[in-house]
Amino acid sequence: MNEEPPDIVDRALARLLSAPGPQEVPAEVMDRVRHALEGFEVERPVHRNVRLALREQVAWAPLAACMMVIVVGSWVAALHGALFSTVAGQRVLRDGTVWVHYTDGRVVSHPVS
Amino acid sequence: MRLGEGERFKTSKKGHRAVHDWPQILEEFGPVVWRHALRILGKESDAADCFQSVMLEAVAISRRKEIRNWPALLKRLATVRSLDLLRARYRHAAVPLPETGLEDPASKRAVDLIDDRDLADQLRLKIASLPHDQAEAFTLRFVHGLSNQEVADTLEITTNHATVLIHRARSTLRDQLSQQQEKSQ
Repeated sequence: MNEEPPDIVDRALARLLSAPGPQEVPAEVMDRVRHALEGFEVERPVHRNVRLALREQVAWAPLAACMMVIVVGSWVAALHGALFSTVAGQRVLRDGTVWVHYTDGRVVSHPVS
Repeated sequence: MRLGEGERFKTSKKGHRAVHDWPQILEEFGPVVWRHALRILGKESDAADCFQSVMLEAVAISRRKEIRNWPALLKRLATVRSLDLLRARYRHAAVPLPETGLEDPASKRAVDLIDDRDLADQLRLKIASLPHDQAEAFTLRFVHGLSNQEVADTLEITTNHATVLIHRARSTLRDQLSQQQEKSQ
């Protein structure tokens, strides 16, 4: 009677599964892992996740839009200041002349009208 | 009283496990992870490294999200990390596995025994060279002894996909091991 030889993969698996070695976790390995887990808990406190959760709660889109408005607004203000100088202040002297100070640094004097 | 796996490790608030549960997890699932790592890696020192990294990774994952199925997570982590270590071992070894060295085929029984012992190492080498998904599926199916359905659930793929991966992996391994055996004879 011809008996079919076992599949080579099955033979290899049988060898692999019957590999010698401790079937239970060695005590020193277990102790090492316990120690590592304790260290892990100390090194990575729980608030790390809280921070992450808080970061996720930030509404980034409105915040970014708000920042854009501020930036664009400041650009517009700066451009406006450069293009259109306005009166920064006036000084009336005893002789009856008025000195007008503009925001671009110009000073113009004229008699009190 | 022993609780069921699903119930015992149900998470409390938003899936974050309390720290004091870890000794229980180590106690109950540690041996499974250990045996799995040892079978795949074949070396106690590598299995110890794998065991530690799996447990630490499981803690890290449990802090990020809710773990519904601890056994599945640990089996998958054990598989992935074992395969990573196996690949690293053969990548850095840079030397082929030792041949049987027996030129005289007179003692068929002796040759078979040594071939079989060598086969386990050959199988490890060939598994390490498989595509990652095939290696994972094959290991879960034949080393862990999961069903195709369980492999699919663990890998979060369809059963058909899992079946195909396992079949391809097995065919590739059969071809490669047969070629290797022919060369050595």
